[in-house]
Amino acid sequence: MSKSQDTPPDTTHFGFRQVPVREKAALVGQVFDSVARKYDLMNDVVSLGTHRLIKRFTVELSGVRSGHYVLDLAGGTGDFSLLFAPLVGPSGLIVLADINEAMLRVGRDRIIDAGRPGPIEISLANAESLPFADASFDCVTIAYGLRNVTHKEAALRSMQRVLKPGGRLLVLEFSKPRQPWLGKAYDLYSKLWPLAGKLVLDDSASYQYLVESIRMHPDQETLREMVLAAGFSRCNYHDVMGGICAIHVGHKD
Amino acid sequence: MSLLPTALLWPLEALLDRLVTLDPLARQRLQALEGRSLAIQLTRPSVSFCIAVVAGRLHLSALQDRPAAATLRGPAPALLSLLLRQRTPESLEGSGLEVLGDLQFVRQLQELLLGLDIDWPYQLGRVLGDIPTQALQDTVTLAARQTGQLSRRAAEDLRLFLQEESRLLPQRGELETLYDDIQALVLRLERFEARLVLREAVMHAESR
Repeated sequence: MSKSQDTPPDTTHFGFRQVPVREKAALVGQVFDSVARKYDLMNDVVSLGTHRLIKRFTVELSGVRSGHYVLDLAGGTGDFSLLFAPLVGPSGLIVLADINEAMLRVGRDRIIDAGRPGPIEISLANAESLPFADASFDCVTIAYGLRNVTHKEAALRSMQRVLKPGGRLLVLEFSKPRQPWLGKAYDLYSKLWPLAGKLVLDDSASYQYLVESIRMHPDQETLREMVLAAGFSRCNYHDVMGGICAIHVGHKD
Repeated sequence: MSLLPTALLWPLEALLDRLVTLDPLARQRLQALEGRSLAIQLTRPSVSFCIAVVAGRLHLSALQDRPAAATLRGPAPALLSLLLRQRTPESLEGSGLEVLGDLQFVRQLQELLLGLDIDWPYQLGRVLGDIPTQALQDTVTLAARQTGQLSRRAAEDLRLFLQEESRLLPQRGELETLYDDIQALVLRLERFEARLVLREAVMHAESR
C-alpha cells in the first residue's frame, strides 16, 4: 500500500507535506511555472543526460507506427512529441497535452523551432478528466508526470477511456531502486538537486519538491496494481537503471 | 531489459541519418523502401536489432515490434563482409549468414548504404573553408600517390630479395616451366590411364 493511499481523503501529499486536495494542482502549477524556462537544461543536469536515452527506450516500447494517434500527457516541453513525430508520419497525430500553460508554451516554441508542427497539436488539459472522445488514441504516454497528479486513479481511468482497444499506455516515472546500496547512493545524489536548482534557476524549492515527490510515488508493484485497477487488461513494467525509473506498459483489450 | 542496446544503436542511427542527409538522392531511394524493416539477429555476439525505414529515415531499434520484410541471421564477421560488399545477399553460401524473407529488400538496403555518394570536399569546405579544404585535398592526394608508389616499390624490393638474394621463392619463369611440366605429366598420365582401361577391356573380351 502506498503512502498516498494512507492519507485522509480531504488532504493529499505535496512532497512530504500534507495539503488540502484542492490546493495541490495549484502548488504543482507554481513549481512548473518556475522551472519551465530551463526545464530541459535542469533535466540534463539532474539526470546527467540519461533522461534522453530513457525516453528513447520508452518510445521503442510504444509500438507506435505510421498513422497512429498518440497522446503525450504531461508532455510539457515536447521531448516525447518530437520523438514520436517521425514515427506517426503525416497520416498520424500527436496531441501534446499538459495542465501547465508555461510548460506548453515552451513546448510549442520548441516544436515550431524544430520544424515539426505538422502532426503535433497542443492541448491544455487535466489528466484526470481528459477532454477527448472515448477510444481516440493508439498510445497514451505520461513521462515524469503521474506523480504530480492529485488523483492518480482518476487519471489512469481517464487514460484508459481515451485509449483505443489494443492501445498501449506508457507510464515513465521515478520508482524504487532494487538494490539498497543503489537506493542510498541515489538518495545522496538527489540531495544535490535543490542546490543545482538554486544555481541554475535560483529556485531550490521546486527541486526539493521533486526529490520529495519521488519518495512519495508508489513503487513498481503498487503502480502496476493501480494500472490494472483502472481497467487495463494487462500491465508489465521495465525497471530502468536498477529501478531508479520504471516504465509501466498497460494494455487495453 | 537493458538500456545498453538502445544506447549503442542511438549514435549509430544518428550517424547513418547524417550520412543519408549528405547524399541528395539517398532520401528518395529510402522513400521507395518506406515502412519496411530488416531484422538482424547476430549469433556471435548474441545481439538482435531491427532497421526500419520510417518517414524517409533509417530507424534502429533494439525491439522487433513489427513483422520484418527480411531477417539476416549469422555471426557478426559474416554480416560485416556483406556490409563491405565482399558478398551479395545472393552469394552467402558457406558464409554462415542466412537470409529469410525478401532478398531484394536486403540488396536494395545494401546498395543504398554502400552507394552513398557524398561530396566530401564540399562537406569539408563548409566546415573548414575552401582554401584549407583544397590544401588538405592536395595533401591527401599527394600522400595517397606517394603511399601507392612506396608500397609498389617495397613489394618489388621484397620480391627481388626473396627470389634473388635469399632464394626462398622461385623465379616467375621457373615457376611457369614447372607448371608446364606438371601439365604435360598430367596429360601423359591420363593417356596412360586410358590405355590401361582399353587394355583391360580387350583382355576381358579375350578371356570369354
